[in-house]
Amino acid sequence: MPDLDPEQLREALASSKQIEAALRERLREQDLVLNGIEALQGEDDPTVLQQRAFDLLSRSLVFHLALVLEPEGEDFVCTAATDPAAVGARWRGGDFFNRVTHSGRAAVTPDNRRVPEWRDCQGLSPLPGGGIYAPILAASGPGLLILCSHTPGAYGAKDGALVSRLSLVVSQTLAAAQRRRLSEAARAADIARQAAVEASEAKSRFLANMSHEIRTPLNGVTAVADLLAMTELAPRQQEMAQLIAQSGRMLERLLNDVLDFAKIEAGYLEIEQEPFQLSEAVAAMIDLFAARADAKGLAFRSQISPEAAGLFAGDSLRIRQILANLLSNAVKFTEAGEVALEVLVDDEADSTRVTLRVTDTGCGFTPERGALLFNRFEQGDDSITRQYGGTGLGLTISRSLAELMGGGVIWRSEPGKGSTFEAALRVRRLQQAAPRGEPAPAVTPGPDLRVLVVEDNPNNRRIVALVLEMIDAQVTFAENGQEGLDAFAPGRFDIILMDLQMPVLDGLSATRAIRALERASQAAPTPIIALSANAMTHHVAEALEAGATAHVAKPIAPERLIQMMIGLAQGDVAPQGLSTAV
Amino acid sequence: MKIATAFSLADCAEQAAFETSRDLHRQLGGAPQLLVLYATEHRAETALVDALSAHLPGVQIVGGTSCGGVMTEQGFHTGPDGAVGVLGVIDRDGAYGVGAAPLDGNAQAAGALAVERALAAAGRDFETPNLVWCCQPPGCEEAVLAGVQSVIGSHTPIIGGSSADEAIAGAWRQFATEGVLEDHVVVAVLFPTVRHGAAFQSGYTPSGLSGVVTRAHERQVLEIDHRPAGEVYGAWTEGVVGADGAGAILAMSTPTPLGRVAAEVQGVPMFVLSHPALLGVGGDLSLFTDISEGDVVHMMRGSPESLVKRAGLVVDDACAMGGWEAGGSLGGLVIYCGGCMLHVRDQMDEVVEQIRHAMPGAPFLGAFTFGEQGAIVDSCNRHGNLMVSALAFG
Repeated sequence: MPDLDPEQLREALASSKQIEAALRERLREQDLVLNGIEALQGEDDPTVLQQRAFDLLSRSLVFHLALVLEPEGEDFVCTAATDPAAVGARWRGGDFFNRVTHSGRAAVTPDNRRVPEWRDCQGLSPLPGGGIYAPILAASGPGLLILCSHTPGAYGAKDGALVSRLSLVVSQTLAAAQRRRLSEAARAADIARQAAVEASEAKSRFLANMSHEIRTPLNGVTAVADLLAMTELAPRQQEMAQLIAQSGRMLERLLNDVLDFAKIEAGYLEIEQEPFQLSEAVAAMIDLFAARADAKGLAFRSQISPEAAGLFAGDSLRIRQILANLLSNAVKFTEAGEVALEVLVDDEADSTRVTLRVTDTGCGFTPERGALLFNRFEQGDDSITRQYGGTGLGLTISRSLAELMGGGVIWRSEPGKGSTFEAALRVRRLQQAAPRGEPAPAVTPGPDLRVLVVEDNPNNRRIVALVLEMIDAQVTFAENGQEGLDAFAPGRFDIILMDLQMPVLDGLSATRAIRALERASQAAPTPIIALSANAMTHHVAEALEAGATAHVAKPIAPERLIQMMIGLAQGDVAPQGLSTAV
Repeated sequence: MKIATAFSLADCAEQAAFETSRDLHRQLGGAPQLLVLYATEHRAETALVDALSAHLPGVQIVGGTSCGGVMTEQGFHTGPDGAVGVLGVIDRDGAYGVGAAPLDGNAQAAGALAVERALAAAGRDFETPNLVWCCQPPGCEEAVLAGVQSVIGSHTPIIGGSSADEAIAGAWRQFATEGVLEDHVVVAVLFPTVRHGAAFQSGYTPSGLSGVVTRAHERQVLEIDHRPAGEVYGAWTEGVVGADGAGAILAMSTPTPLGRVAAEVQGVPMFVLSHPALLGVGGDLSLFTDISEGDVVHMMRGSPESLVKRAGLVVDDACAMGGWEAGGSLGGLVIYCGGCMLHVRDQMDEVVEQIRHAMPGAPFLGAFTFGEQGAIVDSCNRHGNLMVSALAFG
């Protein structure tokens, strides 16, 4: 050791001890901060976190009240405190609070009562002693951590600096609480979303059920009216029967709109990819609406691109639905002049773009009204609903269908200058021979068909009986699936008409059981036509998966049903996958 | 925070103010917010403060007279016309304020009033400052400390020195923003934005000789262990003190002051010293600190070598207490006992060198006082003699 005298040695010892004491204090502060951070990890319950933060502070220095203040407008509100009675107390933010919250440094006061912000504090009186005011970052912005003592001048700047460091832990506590709140909000949103999804599904189920309930009697009205019209009637009676049938079909169209809309909303609407002749599909619509336009004194022009000829894969029913909607609107809203249809077909690399452009010389509309056209249930304005009727779903459905087919619907219009609606969609051009045709049904005498009708509704049984009388079919009736299964034996019937919703044993189960019996006896499958008012796509899919050969939605169009039955009985329709709304 | 110092040996106050303010301006790039001013009694003129205030608009001034000269990082400054030393601080995000109050027979009330005024001047009138710098005449320091603490509590370091003159003739003065004051307490409150460290030590060691004060009155020790205090102290000094009879003993008692334990740090006692100034004809000892019956006094020993090295060591401690290594200092203030300075006057360059070594490259201002105030490790504020009190910023 160098030649230090005792004075120097003592001085060096005193220095080292003082410095050691200071270092120990710093180490303790570090430990407090680190322990605080550690204590917070893995915990996200705000109450536990706040308690831990207060415990940490109380290990650091003596205080009698700790407050966490968060900003609320120009005020500060106590959101946590060692004394629960202090929670909710409110201070008007003044120079002092605002300086501390934004300075990043703690302030120390010898006597809280002299702090101006305490003078107007609502809900709490200041302790008559020292205080430390440290900035924190609360969820709603810069806040304050306040420690109060009963002893005047209890704290110095060193204490303030320590609390400043610990306030970081408090800020993290608040952040954790905020995370928890966000997590709870997310959970609540998820629950709300789930509830919305369930409500939507419930709505869809309701619509499907309603559709079933409406279709059943509607089936009776239109089928019987059709049958009635086929009988020999006086001219006036014939007219009345036709009126009944037309009204039924109008009601059916409205029902289909609602049902389609429900399918679209529920995500159940699927686009078929079946072979079809585009030109034929368009021609059928031209015939129909040219006649309607003519009846209204309007000219009707059409221009079909030569490329429209040929076979395509797509959903001809939905394409016709779009075209029918656009042409129907054009005819409906045009009082003089003409309605024109243009069909453009552009073959592209991997698909064919079809544009259906319908132009009219009708009343037209403003851009503002145009913006509302595709809103659900909107028809431009209420007067349209009063004058023309309708659900207001047509364009919405058309646009959704076009979008599902890879396109969309656009419009151009000016008030008094008519409108142009243009639906674009994509189909796929096929090179093979013509598809299974959809010839206009003609009632032809059928063979002496043996038909099992499984139907629980007496009216429906009667309607089917009237239809089958037309082809002199041998009809056996069963009132539920079980009775149908009991009546069935392989080879006993040429065709089975199976309702789906029935008591005792439903149609799907009965169909599966019949198919199982056939498999067990290695018998050829008997064609089964599922008859159901459940016309939503997934119901059709369920019927086909259960083993039905085809699905027919009610109400029944007698001629189409007969045509299908004859075809199936003759074996010229591929089993499975055939569905139609007849 | 920016700190700079300047000094002047000019023979007139205006010139000294001009030189020092010019140098500060150059170093700081503007007028400081706080100016710590120490000057020998030669320059204790209103013109000095007025000129400084004029050259440095808005500045707040705290300080007092210093014995024999001043010191800065540029050296120990003394001359036939006295010396002026200044330390300027710019710290825009911090807050600084100076307040003064007349003693008027109640030093405690004056201390309280001065600190209230200082806080108001800093714009922090209900807050506790990080530091207090004080200056007052010798003789009332304990009361001043009590007065300041009555306002802000006892957890804030109070550092400073008692103003001094050249011949213990009462020519000491205090400097404040409002001018040169007599019998006033001047206090500065500091809210700096940087770290600070403070240390307060003697450089003396207990001799092993001690006794209990059995009779005392204010600053007079009448008896130690029931014997005349002068007789006991004379015996402890082996006759060095008392050999010439009653009278001033300030110089001869400098190597052997009395010490009392102010605090203990991990078993090591920390002494605060009392400097015996007069040996009374009745055998009493007059000190530069208060003393109470029951106090245990130790005779301390110190050597010129330890007095020379002490300032540097205390500054070292201040930096260590602040938590940074030598070289990390922005600047500081050193209060060095005037009696000690006189004892090692011809070695003051070495004292300055020791401080420079402890605070390399940093500006500092040192003053020589007749009583020192500082904070021991637990921030307990004390007044003592023959002490060094250091404050460093880092």
